[in-house]
Amino acid sequence: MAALNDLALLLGLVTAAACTPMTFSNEQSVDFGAYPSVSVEMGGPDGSDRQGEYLASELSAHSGFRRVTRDGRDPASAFLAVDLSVSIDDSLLELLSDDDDSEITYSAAVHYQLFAADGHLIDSGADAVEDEVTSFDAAESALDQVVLHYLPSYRF
Amino acid sequence: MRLSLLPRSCFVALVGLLALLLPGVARAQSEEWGAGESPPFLDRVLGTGQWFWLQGKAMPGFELDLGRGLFEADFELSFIGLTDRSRELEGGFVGNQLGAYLMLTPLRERYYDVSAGLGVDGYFLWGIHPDAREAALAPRVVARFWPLENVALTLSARTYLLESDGLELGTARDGGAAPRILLSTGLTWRFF
Repeated sequence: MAALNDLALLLGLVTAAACTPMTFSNEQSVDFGAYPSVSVEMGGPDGSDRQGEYLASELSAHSGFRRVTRDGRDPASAFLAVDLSVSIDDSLLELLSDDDDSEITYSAAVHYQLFAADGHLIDSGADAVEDEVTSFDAAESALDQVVLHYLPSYRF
Repeated sequence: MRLSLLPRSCFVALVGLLALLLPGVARAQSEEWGAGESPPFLDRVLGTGQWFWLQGKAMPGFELDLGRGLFEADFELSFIGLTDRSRELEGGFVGNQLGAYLMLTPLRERYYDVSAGLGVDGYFLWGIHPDAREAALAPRVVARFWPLENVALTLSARTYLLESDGLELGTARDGGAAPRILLSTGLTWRFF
């Protein structure tokens, strides 16, 4: 039992002395100090009011923008235009086949551009998701990628 | 490259596997094999409670090891929190680590065993954003000391060969460098 205690003490000392730093970090994609507020406009073939509200809500909760609005008349330091398209992954032939096991899955793509108040382009990007069970899931997952792109810097 | 290495389906599959394996194995054993017998496809199932030794973070976790002969599949689930207050992360909860490893156990004696293998650590940073993830490819060594037949002290060490941009093992928040080795210690229970 004494040997067991010694072994436990040794393991404890070795590991406690060897605490390793591990850092999670993110570099913000735009200067949120220069562009603290954003006005969001949802467009594209599948950009609905509901999706616009979802994006604005998620940006408010998670992004580096201090203020997010959907009202174009509300002055903001930047303007985010997002195009959303949702599609069914499988071909029409597969959907019409008799195979009951085949599940319909959805893909979504977003293209976004961030403009300054004077109209010049600050930032742009595109992202896509696939294999989502519903079209709403696909749309929201794609919009989540936009939010992820505008996370603030962190390092801890 | 900002990480989107781990698709959501991988995470769901890993969590599902962890959730299903323990009760599944126990039920299978109790229903199909008598006391003291092991299932034909496994000769050992181990569970470990462990603590990762990190600066500025608390990282407790669990591990499930399924082995047969030389081979072992190890699955980890850990919880990561900040031990220091941070204005960047209210509440201090960072997220979860999920690890999956394929291990070889060339040394397996009554009082100790040593395994080495390769696997993936995935970090799901729920505290930041539901889709914020990091991942690393990691070689890992595990040593277990069995003072009792079914209870072991476990020491593991890993490093990251490849890691996503937002994950830095061996780098402090202020940029200071340290050895890129992540140690954990734990207590292991042998189910059979």
